[in-house]
Amino acid sequence: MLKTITKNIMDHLPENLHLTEEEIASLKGNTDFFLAIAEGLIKSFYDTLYSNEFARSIFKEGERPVREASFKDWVVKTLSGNFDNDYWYWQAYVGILHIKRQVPNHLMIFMMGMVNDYVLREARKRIKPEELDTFSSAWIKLTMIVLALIAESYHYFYLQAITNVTGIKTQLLDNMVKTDVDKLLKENAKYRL
Amino acid sequence: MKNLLEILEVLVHKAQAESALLVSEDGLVIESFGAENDNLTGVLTASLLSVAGRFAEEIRQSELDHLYLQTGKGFVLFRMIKDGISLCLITQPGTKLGLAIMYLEKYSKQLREEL
Repeated sequence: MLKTITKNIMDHLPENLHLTEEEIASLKGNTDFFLAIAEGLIKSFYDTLYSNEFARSIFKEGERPVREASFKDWVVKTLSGNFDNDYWYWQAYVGILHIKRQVPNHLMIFMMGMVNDYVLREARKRIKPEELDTFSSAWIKLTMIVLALIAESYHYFYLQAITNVTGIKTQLLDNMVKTDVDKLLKENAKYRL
Repeated sequence: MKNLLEILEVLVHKAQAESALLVSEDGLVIESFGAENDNLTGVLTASLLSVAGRFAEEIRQSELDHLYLQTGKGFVLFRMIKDGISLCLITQPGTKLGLAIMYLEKYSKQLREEL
């Protein structure tokens, strides 16, 4: 199922938003850059996360070093991988982990924004100007695909768990939503442009 | 669908009910008689029967056959017809349960033949 979901999401990715060979080469060619900024990035990431009471509550006491090591693993595996199907399945799997840990998508999106800001700021300081455009495009494309896979697999598997436990099939869930969505729009009509 | 509608109409009158609906397992209404908000009733019927069916499967290792709800304003009876299609009969306050069940069974057979 993870493979099917990943394929469905990747099939919706417009052709010009796929990583090109040149962009993959740019990411891999800057492994040293990533390793150089990894420590600062990871510290900044968890400092930011732990500064919010809700985000902090997701973690157990003493868990931060374990999560920091996982983040570093992600960086290393990302740069040593081939951005092939197995890599994308792994990203979609993170969506299921987020359900287990109750990490909501909005928090994940906030933090991906923080990561992008950090990486691109450092890139402007450290990467040759003639490479910067390709590198920035590659990084943005990569993280947006990862974001889509995590968020969509979270949403899909969340619903799948409801379907598995209650027997309510996806088509029925869709019809339930259709029945209610007009009421929701009406209730919130003041926000309509 | 004329026959289905006719059967539902006769069922509602004979069982002294308010309304009757035939609903797919996706919650779409196939036919209804007397129902006011049949889109909502359709999805509620299908979701109730999905959960009840899952309960029967997991807890009794069996298939759901029918489901009766008793409310302060009468009964709501559900009967599996065929191929995931179910019949929902909403009675009036004071409708006798035995009468409603008798006609529910009788017309379920006719609906099964029509579908």
